[in-house]
Amino acid sequence: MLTLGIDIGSATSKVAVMRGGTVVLATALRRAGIGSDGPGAVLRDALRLAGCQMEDIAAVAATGYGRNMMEEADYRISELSCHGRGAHFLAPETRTLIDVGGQDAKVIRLDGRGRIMEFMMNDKCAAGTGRFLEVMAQVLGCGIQEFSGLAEGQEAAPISSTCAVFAETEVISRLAAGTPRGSIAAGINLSIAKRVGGLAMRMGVVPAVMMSGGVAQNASLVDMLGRELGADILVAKECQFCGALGAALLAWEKTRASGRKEP
Amino acid sequence: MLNDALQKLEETARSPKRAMEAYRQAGRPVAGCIPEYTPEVMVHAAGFIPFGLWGGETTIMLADSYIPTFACSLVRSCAEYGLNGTYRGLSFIIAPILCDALKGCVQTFRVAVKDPPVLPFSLPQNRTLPSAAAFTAQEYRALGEKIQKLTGAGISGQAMRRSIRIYNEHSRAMRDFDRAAAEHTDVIGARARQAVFKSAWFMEKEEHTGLVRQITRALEERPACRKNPARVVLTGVSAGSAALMELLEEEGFDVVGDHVYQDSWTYLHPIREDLEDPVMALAEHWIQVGGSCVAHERRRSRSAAVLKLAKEREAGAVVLCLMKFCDPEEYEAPLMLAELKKSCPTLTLDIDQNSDNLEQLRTKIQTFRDVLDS
Ligand code: SF4
Repeated sequence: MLTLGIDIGSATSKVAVMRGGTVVLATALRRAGIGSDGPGAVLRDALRLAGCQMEDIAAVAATGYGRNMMEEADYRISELSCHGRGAHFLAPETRTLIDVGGQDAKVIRLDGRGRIMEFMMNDKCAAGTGRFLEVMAQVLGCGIQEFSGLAEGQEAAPISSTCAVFAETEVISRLAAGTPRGSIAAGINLSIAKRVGGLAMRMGVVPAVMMSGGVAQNASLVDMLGRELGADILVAKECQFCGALGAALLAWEKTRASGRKEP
Repeated sequence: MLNDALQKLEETARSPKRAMEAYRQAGRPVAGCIPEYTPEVMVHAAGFIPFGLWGGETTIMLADSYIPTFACSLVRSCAEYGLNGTYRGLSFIIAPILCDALKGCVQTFRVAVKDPPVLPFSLPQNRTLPSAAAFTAQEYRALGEKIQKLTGAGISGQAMRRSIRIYNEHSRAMRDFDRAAAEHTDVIGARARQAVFKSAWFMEKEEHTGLVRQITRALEERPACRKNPARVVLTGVSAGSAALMELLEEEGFDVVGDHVYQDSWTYLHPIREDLEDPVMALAEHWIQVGGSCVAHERRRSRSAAVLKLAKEREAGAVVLCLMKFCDPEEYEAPLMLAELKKSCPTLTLDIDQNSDNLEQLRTKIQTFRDVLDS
């Protein structure tokens, strides 16, 4: 049985196509999220890579903030549930999952079967989210990909503000004072690590700790977060697909449980 | 009959301003009561229709100059409505000094809102002191004098006793409805349940009692029917908007009880009718408040009360509706959550009248449902 999971976020759209809830046939990503043509395009990309058509798919589960806009979806599942399930698939030893998405940061406690025991979301403000990082990268005049490299091995300049709006002003004045861009980038990473770390510690950190979402590709931030938490952080190479994989897996489980026929 | 009464209460809960205008057009004077623990009974006894001022979903523009963004949305939106003239037409407003945010709100009204005038009063927090009830009674009497000075309407002992009887009767009706609603969630979903409680703040109590009794009778004539297996109880100052209740319904939750000040919690205890001095009876009512984040207790009893309620109503989970930036509630929350979570799965939702982020609330509620189902 083929199932497809689509994760429509604020900044990116991701798809995973799976067979039998065990084999990943294809994953695809587009840097365009809700309200763009990203979801449609990434769906076509993934089907092409998997060598199949939409008619071959037994069930589609949509997740992420755009899940309700996905007309083809058989299931609409919260991104926390999908990320939890995806993390368990990628690394079953995961007990604490930290996902920093475009809109918010989430910390999820998993049990040995990948079920969510507890969760927390930072939904109060933009600081500590992927969007914050994007804005800061823009201020530093680089792309989000370049940002991580820029911060690598640099001494962090203090970015005292925890508010996204004020942090921008602070970064501009540091640039004006001649602080190297790398130090500022490291300072921004540290401010996010402290914020996300604080959220995780409020819930309690149980190893193994995994990080998912696009921000997990920012190695310097992952490193700082690990130091904040006093724990090693696993980053799977499919870290950006955690939600889409979880959605494909849950679509498979739900379809099997409902006894629905395969196409 | 059930539907007519429900519809009337839903309409009132949806548009309090219209309800206020209707009373005024009928020549009935209306007085605003800013929560929490405002002695509505005195306003009623003075011949005014007490009208709960719970703020509302509005964009804050004028209040920003007086009240910071990190004050609760109840106080911010009340101040906004005061400043932009929405509350004009009320004879006066009474407001308790219970927390720092309310202190700021009263100051704002005093400085920048002349119409309607605000009459503040204090409620003591050291409620175990022998003098606490006497102090409260003194504050209430002073409040009565301020009302009389402003409007000429005195409050006699006889009128107070009558109003206490009316309020106790209303509380009884609300408690009966609360119990019946928990067993008829096929008819009384989260939205309808909230509307019944919310509308009580915007309607004359005698009329509200009649409508609620009609609903309860109609429910009791029907066989009990629980719509969803996922039964929850709520706790907080306010459980937020009808849209939030709709989300709970959509995700298959039955709300079967609450420890929410805006909903049923305020009806738990009657005001004593056997005391000679009705003002003292009202004062004692405040002294006896338990399990509230704004009424100090040596041993906090709220989580035990919420868990007891959950057990009684066979609810498998608790939703803490945490008023964003409410100092007393956020201060209490970590301890309370730890106690609740030991016995019952608990979800925390931020309540902010000025920016309901429904999609994030939906994500949390949906995930909580998944957690309970697994
Ligand atoms: S007790 Fe909380 S909700 Fe009530 S007015 Fe004070 S801060 Fe606002």
